Amino acid sequence: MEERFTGILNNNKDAIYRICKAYATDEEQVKDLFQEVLLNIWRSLPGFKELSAVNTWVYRITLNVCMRAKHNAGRDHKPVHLDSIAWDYLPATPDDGSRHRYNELYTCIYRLNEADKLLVLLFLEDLPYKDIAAVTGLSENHVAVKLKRIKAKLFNCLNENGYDR
Amino acid sequence: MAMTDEQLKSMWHSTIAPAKLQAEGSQLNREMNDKLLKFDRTIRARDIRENLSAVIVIIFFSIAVFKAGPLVSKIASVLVIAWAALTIYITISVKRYRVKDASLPLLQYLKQYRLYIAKEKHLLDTVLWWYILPAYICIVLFSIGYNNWITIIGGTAMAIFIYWLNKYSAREYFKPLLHNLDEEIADLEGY
Repeated sequence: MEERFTGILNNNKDAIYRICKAYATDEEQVKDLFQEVLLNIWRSLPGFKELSAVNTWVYRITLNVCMRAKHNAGRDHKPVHLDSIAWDYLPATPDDGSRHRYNELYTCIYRLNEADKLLVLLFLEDLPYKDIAAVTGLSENHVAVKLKRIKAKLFNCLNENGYDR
Repeated sequence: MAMTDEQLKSMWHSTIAPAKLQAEGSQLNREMNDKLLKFDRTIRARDIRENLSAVIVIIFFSIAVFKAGPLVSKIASVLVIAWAALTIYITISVKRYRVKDASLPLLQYLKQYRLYIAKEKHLLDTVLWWYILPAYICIVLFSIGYNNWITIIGGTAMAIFIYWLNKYSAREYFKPLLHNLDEEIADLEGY
């Protein structure tokens, strides 16, 4: 199980981190969410029957944990701290040249409602519509229709901030 | 400057996790299992704490059934035991709705979580009928047997405070949360 877990972590840690970052208010919260996701992956791993792809399963857990944290904000909740995880003090975000555009992207994502936000995150993760449908529980067609509208909203927001499509 | 889907995705993917696994094998296994054990123990302790007062009440009034002098106090003791057992049953039955599977599709997760929160809120909304009023009637009956008006006055004040506390929690926490969940589900299901 350790080997399987390590493999899942190595293949998905950047994606988990990016999604946690979109739901967190500061870097400490990103780390807390990240570690909570790992703990939930570990807990759920014995029951994972590979009926879905591993990354679909990981995205489900990540989004559910992030949403749960959002719903429980302000309630007494002790964050998870795993000694097995080391945090490098390397820049986790792009260099200065593209940082502004990157921050604009985050600002525009934050402006979306929760449903639009999570769909656009999965789109940005480059998941095919079929996988987004499997993560969210919506139909593939529904995802396609919604994403068309959400992407337009996102590009509008970016355009307002100085980027033309 | 034009921006395409691919550029957007590429910008998004430029974030990398500054996390690396520094323990492997049995050490990782041990830490994860320890954390889960601790987490489960905390949840269990909280559940026990919630029902502990009811268990103490059952023990106390089980003795009172035999020790109490006035008949009305004996009857009240039996009623208190039944009430305390009912509160344990009600709180445990609601806990069954907790979402345990973190790998559910998001929409299903939100719906299950909403159901759990709605059950919790319903408990708070109806707290007067299943918790406060039966307990209050029992206290009054028990105290009448001993002609103890101080307990009745204290019990009345306590009942009002518990009622206010539950209503406050339902209004300030559960109502907005339920509203947010309804909105999120509607947004997700809508086009």
